[in-house]
Amino acid sequence: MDNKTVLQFQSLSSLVDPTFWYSLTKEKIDNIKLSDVPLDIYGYYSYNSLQSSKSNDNIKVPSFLQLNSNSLTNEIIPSFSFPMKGLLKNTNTIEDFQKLDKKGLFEKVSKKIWDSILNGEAIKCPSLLNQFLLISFSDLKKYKYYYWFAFPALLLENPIYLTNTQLLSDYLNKNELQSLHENYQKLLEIPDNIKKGIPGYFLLKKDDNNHVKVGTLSEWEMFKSDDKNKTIVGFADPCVLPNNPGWLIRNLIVLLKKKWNVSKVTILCYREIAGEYADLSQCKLMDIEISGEELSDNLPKSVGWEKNIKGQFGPRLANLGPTMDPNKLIESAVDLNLKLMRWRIMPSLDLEKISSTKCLLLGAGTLGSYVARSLMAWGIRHITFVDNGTISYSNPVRQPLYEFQDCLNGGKPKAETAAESLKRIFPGIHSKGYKFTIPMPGHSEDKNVIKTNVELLEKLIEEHDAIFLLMDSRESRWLPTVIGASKGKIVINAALGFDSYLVMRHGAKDIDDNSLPTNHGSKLGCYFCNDIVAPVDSLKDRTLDQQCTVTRPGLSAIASANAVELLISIINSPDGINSKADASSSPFEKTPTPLGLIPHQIRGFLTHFNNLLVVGQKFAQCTACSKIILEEYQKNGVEFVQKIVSTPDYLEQLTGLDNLHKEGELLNCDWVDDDDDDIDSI
Amino acid sequence: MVHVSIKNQYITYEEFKEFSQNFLRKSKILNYQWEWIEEPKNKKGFLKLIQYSEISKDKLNRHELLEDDDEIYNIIINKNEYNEIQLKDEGVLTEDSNDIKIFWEWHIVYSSVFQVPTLFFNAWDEEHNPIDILNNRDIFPIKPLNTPIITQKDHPILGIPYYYIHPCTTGQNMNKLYNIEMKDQLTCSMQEVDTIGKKENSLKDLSNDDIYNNYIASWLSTTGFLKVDIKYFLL
Repeated sequence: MDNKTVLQFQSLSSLVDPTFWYSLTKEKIDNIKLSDVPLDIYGYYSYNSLQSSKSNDNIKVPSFLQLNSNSLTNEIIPSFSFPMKGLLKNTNTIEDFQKLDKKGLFEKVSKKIWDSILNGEAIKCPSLLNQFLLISFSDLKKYKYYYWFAFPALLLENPIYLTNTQLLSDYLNKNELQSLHENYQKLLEIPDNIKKGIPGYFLLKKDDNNHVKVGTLSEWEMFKSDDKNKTIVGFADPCVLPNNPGWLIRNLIVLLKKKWNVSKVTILCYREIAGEYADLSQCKLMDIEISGEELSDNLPKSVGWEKNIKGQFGPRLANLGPTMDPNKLIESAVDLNLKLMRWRIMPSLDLEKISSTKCLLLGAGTLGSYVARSLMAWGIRHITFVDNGTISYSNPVRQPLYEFQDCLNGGKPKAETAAESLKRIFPGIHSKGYKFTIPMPGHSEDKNVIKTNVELLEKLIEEHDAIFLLMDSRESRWLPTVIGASKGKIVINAALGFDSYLVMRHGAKDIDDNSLPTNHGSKLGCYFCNDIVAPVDSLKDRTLDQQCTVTRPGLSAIASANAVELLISIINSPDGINSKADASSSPFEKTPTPLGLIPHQIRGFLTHFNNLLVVGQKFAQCTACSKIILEEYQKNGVEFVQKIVSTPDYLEQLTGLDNLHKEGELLNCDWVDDDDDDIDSI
Repeated sequence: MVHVSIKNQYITYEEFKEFSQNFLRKSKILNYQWEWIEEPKNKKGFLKLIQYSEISKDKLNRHELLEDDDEIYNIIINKNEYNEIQLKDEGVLTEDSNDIKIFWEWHIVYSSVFQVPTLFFNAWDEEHNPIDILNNRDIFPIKPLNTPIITQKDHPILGIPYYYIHPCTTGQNMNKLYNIEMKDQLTCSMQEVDTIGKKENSLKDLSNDDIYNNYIASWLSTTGFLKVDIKYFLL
């Protein structure tokens, strides 16, 4: 028996069920409030640990101290488990947590354990040997819990040596094992025994006639070794390792040394596998040597801080935000819904790309409202509104982001109110509103105001990936078309007539490559390419019905939905903005991308409940996206815009449209009567 | 009394609850720690089991978690005093910290749409950080032979996202288990109708209670994610 080794104990691992944090949160809000007086809490450990590995083989289950929703209030103890009493010090701020006298608290608990040994209380109530410490800071707003456990184990001067290990079933025969189990059950059945932890630490002794007696620590004198038997001290052991006992025997060994100056003893690691028949095959007997002098009454040193998940000494963090924070819950629900689409139907759906697309909505009216809602449904997190208007009494029923209250006292500004409304619907959204007027050809304005607004619009377009043109006039679309084309952004345009609409994407930046097909994204026109008049003040001289929104009420939702779906198809297409424009095909034909066709223009007719897909090329003399305009804008910027605002005819001069008109007049053709005229406003 | 129609693989919630109680009773005898959890608000319950497993840290794909770095935690974790907080002690067993502890939370929830039990689950580490299952499909304690479609879905009772196995084939599987042939009556020949009739008769000899005694355990064995002790069927 000379091959003695230092006996090493398996540390306890804390296992906190989220329900513990839920109840702590509730208790904190309802009762504890700002008090940070230490609280008594109760955890438990099981000596039936192997059961969890029963259903999956070869797992080393650690020794767990478990906390759950009952840990704060009472001592409901699950079967095959014993209680551990703990001291919870929860601080109100992270600073307090940092400043906490951790060593002091640890020593306080150690001293409680030591005192219970000195005054003999631990013999009557052995659960006093297991007291632990929990320090925490609960961030109740974010549902984050910073915590640290300590399981103080008193230290002896010298290490404890292990001299022999054997299976209990090699020491006791079958009948004796059964007798042990029966007598152990009797110990468990005595009322209050479990609460006091009495069966957690017990004594046993072989008797005659294949019996094994089981006793409590108070019965030490009856159970200690005699000429026939050695002293065996049992403890309910959550550890499952073959050569190491669990942490919970440590303070008992100190008790044995202090109370009875024990120097040699056998410990029984009681590891029952419960079930139809109790299985004691995993129980171990370990002969140990506790060397050294008799102990004084001075508090011994102790160890027992728990390591965190990184394997270092330090606090742990339980982040329950994802399961408790309503803001996090709605975010994950939004994503989940979209992911379902990917899992079930379209594996190629690039949700990350979609949700990271930043959208700028120019116009926060009927179209702006519906577009924003559809974008949110696609998981888009950045939506910015620009609108110069305020909410009027006619708006709420048609514009789903506004309510009656918003119209009062002259009406709230549309853009900001729309942004607030989005945040109310979904707090995870990043939304802002800007109230200003987009400079328009023919709408004369102070030069400084134009400068400020052009620069702001440039900045906003620069910061976003997709620009939606959702205004109620044709000429307000001109400047964003120019800037969008110049910066190479995705521009989606939606315009309403009374019962018809147009939804289109603007063509990408021109690539000088004649080998590209005519429907290549870079060959496609913008909203102004089909016009052969420069935008002028279309609101002037109009009758009332032309100036306001006179459209069939369902039209805007249809057009908006199409505009958003068009954007999503572009984003999800590998060619993005350069995707070829598809023409109409039968709904039964295969489509080139999983999401379907990527048209250039959708012209919808509510009268016939019909959509037409139209492809239109870039017009070399376009007043918005032609080379000459873009070059002029890039060269002269704000000054150029200022000039156009005051003299819109300059656009026609620049592009040579005026010559075209003259030729047209010579031919006596009526060019001005373009179909587009009844489609552009709203 | 069980009201399951023997022609029908579907069960009602009341039947689910009854079968669950039977399953729980046996689980207790066999030392499997299934619990019945009931939500007080809607009085609907489900079965729950916590399971534990370990996996090497390098085998776990955790990229989603890194984004959620907590600033406060990073500040408080890096304190020098912590290095000295613990005295040196030979008596502490040093264990391999390269393993990560994973807790599996298995729920058997009744699906009112499919009218069969459904398996919901989540996996957490020790600090209750969720494990991203979709990027870690190899870490299940037991791998089913045919990996079913796993998606995420709001738990019908708890209202928070859980992974789940879609129950679309459960009905058919249970049919096979109970030897129920669900043939389209129109294409059935007279002979086939006859054999179905005979089967019904032979099943009728047993009371419904006996046949469906192990409904939950039988169903659970078809999922392939949890070992179902044969003793459930012998008790």
